[in-house]
Amino acid sequence: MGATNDAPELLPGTLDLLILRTLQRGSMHGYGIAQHLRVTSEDVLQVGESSLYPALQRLLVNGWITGEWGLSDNNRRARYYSLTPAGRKRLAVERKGFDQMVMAIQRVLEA
Amino acid sequence: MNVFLRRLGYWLRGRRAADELDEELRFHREMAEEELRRDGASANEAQRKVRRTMGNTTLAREDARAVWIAPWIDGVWQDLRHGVRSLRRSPGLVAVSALSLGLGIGLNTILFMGIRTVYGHEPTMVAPEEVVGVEPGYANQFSYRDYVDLKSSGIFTDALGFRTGGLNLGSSGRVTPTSLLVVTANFFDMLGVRTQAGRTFTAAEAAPERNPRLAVVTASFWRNWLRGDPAAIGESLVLGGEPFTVIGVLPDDYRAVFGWIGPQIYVPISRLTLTALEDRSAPSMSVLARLKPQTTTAQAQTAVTSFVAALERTYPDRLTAKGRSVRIYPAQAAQFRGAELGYQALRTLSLITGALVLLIACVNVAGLLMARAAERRREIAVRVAVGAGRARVVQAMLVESLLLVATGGVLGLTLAYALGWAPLASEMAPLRNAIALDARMLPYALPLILLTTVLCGVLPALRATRASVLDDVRQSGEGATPRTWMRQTLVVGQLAMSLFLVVATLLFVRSQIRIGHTDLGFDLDHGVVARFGLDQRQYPGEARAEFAERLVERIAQVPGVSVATVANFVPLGGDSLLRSFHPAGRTDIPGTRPSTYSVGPEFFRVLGIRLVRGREFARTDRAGGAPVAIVNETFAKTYFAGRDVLGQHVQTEDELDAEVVGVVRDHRIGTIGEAPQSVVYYPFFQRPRNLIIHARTSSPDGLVGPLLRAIDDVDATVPVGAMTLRNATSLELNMRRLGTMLMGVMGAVGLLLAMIGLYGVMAYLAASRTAEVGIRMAFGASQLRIRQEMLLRALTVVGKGVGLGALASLGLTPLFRTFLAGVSPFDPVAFAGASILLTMIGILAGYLPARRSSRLDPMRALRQL
Repeated sequence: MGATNDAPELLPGTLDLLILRTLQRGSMHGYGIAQHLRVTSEDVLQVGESSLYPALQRLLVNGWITGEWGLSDNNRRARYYSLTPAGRKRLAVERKGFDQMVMAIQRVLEA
Repeated sequence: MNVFLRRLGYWLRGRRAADELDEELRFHREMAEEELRRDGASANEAQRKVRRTMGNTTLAREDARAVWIAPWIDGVWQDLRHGVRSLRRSPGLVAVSALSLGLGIGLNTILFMGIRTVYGHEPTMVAPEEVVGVEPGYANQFSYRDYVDLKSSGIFTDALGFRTGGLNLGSSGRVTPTSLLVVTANFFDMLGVRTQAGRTFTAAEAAPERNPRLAVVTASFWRNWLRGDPAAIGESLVLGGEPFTVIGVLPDDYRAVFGWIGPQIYVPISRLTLTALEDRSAPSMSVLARLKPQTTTAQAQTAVTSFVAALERTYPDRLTAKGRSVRIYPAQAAQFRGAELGYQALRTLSLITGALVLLIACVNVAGLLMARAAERRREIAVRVAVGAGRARVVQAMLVESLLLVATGGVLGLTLAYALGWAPLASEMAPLRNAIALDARMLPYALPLILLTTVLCGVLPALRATRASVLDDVRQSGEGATPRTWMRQTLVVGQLAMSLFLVVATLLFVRSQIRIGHTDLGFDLDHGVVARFGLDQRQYPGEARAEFAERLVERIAQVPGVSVATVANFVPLGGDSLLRSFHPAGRTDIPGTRPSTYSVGPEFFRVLGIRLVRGREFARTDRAGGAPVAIVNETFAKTYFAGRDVLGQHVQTEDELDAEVVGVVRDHRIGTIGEAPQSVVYYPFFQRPRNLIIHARTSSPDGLVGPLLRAIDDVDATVPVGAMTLRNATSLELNMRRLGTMLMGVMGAVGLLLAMIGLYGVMAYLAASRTAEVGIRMAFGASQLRIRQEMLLRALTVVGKGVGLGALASLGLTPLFRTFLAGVSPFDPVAFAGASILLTMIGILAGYLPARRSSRLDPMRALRQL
């Protein structure tokens, strides 16, 4: 159950952080976000719909992002997500937490 | 909070939000496919690849939705739909529980409404927490002069006084005796009451010395008497022969300080409306006062105590009953002054019986749900086995009970609403308004429905889910006898409760019957009564005695009248008046308050009250003669125990010291069920008061007309109303009839519901033993034997219920003592009657299923195994 094709597994909670970071560059639709994650991670992070869309809904409900319908480059209807001020703050908090966590893990691994 | 609102937003947008999500997912997929095709893949290949890499879309959708909606809400919705479907398949269950709960919820809603109207009555006033009732201690009320002093004493911000009075409404001849509230000029101002039309009194125009002829009326009076016409303001009402100008109409939601039922006309206090205006020794006004800011009740109490002490020093000759202290109480409690115990007893009675009926109904439904759960054990077990948590299954069952209860609730409220249209005696009209159903009952009905759901549903749900999953998956629902003990226990409780209701009903009915034959101490069936509505200027003082004498002489000549006399009261006619009493020379007995009445010669013969010793008043007992009194047996026993009361001297509050010349039997005065009261009678012609003519005759009904004509012969202009003695005392009888009716309905409904419950359990027991009975009959057990056994089982359950109920009733029935006239709360007839009735019903409920199972074809029964 719960099989996803994300390879390798993301650290729990990091998907939200990555989405928020991605949207910091400007508004983007769901597919665009997935693309961006894949391309910038050089195909390491392949985010499936089954994690991406629930994550987006979660961020919407928390008021960190907003979604607005617009037209895509090829003239299709798509929902564009953008960061809210609350989302910006959240990003800073998560970023800090994540950096600390990574550093801590590194220290343990290199000890 | 915001998160919650956003969530709610999604939930409300429901379908649309889901569609948008779907569209997004579709877009995502198509973009991915397009990209692959650009890289040279075929359409099919691209689709396959995307499906593989994108993962489980349905799951994605579900997960995303779960973010919006707490899953349990979705679950409740599911359960509701499932519940409706499965209940539709059991119309019998729905019918029985809707009926049970409908009766229970309907009755209780009406009771709550009634209780709220009567007991939750919150008088209309601004800042009610500042308003207190004040009693001076020497009496419950202030005299007008004392009130004026209190008002100007500076203890309170302001004080008002009021008293109920009666005057005849209408002009001379045919009039309607009407009660009114005589109030001080500042009454409405102090309370902060506004009118819906016109205005209230101003202090200047309503000053007593101006004899103001003004009236403010309630909205219902305005509607019934003044056509609801705004132009009626400025019209005159003739009250006691005087024209009073209507200057204002109170709002519809105005609630009077003296309770939910009472006078509809308010007139300013003056000599016209209160004779004893200047008399300091006539306490006649209830007083409410507004506390000064920062003054506590205790401080006010101290201040009023020294105020009263100063009054007593200034007017030392005034007779006072010492030993009671000043009382300051919240104005909200004013309406129950003096009758607190009776009111509380009535409330307790209503609440207990209402709760019992509802409980009995709940037990029925719980029993049915348990039986249903037992039949569905497999289904439940399967649900648990495939991963539904126990909480989830309990939730589903509770939702189902909620559906049942809601159906019952709708039925109940409809019943309650229908009752609003039922015919009621006209005296009970205020009650109709009291229980009129509208949105105000929802605060009672909704919690009641929730409570009922929990009561009905929790026990069956918990029991149903407790059973071991494995056992139930393996076997079919059959043969679990230990479960039935719970239902049997419930039925025992149910029978006990309905036994109590039946006992109480029988007590009320017997008391009602007993009233028909009860020895009231006077003869209800051979009297005609004429009440005169004389105001102060008609036949004052001596002239009134002379007028009364002429009336009695004339009426004694009417054919059919054997003897006639005059008095100032009608027993059980609502004329009781308490006065403090002092055996001559003693003023130190606190808390003794006999009634005092004025009666003419031969009064006791006219009323059929037996003279025990001494003599009746004679025509010679008139003004100027030696002051004499007659007392009743209770009075003699209370104050002159062991001594000969004849020749003793008595003195009540504002009377002369009088010699006791006679002793009469006790009779009922205020209520039929009352304890014997002390009474002192004075000769009417030594103290003429309100004029009521009593005539004795063998056929009262035919005499009302001739009596009125005879009165017209003497003076055709005086306002008078005549009726038989029985009718003159009927208000109490009506109240009792209503109480008995209420109890009767409760008892009958309780009994009906308990019957349904008992029958249900017996039928279920019989059905679950079908196989066993089949085997035994195959081995040769006779029909008779099977039947006997089943009956015995029913009787055991009934016996336990009746026993338990009888014990509980012994503890509870004394609560109703005030309502039971001439019947002991432990009346053996009521107890035996109820027990026999319930046992017979038990036998019947047991017999029908027993007969059915004893007629089983053993082969068919065995095949069911």
